[in-house]
Amino acid sequence: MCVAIEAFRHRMEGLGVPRTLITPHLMGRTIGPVGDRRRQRAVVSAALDLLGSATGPGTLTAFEDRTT
Amino acid sequence: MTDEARPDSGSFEEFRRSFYYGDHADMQFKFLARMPDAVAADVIAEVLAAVGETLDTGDLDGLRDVVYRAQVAGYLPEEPVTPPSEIPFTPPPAPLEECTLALISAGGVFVVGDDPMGPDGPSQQDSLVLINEFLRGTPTLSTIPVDTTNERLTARHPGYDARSAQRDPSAVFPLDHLRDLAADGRIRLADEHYGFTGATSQRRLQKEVAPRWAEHLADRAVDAALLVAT
Repeated sequence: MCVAIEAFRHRMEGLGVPRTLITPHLMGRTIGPVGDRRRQRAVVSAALDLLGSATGPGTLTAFEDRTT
Repeated sequence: MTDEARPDSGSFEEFRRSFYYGDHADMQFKFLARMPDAVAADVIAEVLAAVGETLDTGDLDGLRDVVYRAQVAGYLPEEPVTPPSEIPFTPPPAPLEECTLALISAGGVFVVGDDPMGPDGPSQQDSLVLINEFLRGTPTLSTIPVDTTNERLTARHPGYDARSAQRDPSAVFPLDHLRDLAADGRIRLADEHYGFTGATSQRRLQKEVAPRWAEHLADRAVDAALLVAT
């Protein structure tokens, strides 16, 4: 099983990945801004949540930072 | 290029196209080459306005949002994307905390001294002129042991500005965060994790290489993969 993290939703819509977390981050900083460890950890934690909670294929979920 | 050598009659179209591996090659703004002139002009004006605002406020988030929205608009496909008719889905075989996970990043991350292109592999800047060779090439996996610290990682990628990942590998390869989450009992981590350069032959990646990588993970009793795109 797998979960992907991607910043550009349209790229994943055509690939057919089982689960994807969409982050609002710049190209090349998919997990979060350089040095922003709090944000990065929140993204990775959300991806693990999605890995365990998605109930069907092609799930695309927008990241929401609930730690702020 | 010196001022003397630069043509002084270049058009705006030439200017915006030069961000795509041209005189002004810039992986953050290469999308300008795909935009109509008027749209690109609006984007440049909006980014410059946000830069001016940020100089006063220090609010980097606002500037990031402006550039991110521009990137999203710049990379939108011309035609609507059609999802595949069948998408695979494997539910967790056990509670997540009992599953073993491997990280696979397309960000071109590798261990310092273990360059997948050999000891004389190109620098980030040199890789830009090799973009077409990368796009025709066969992707290879760099193996990164689970205990590898960020200080031992570097990155090279001709499709984005990998200097960000050189400064902070966690921006595309969050192994250190996964170690923290594993220590908290959220997941188990495999002994090996992986980086590759996503600017590669997509056909070979999908049809030939990725199935072999999946077998590689299955042979190591990996239950789950966290994939990071760039």
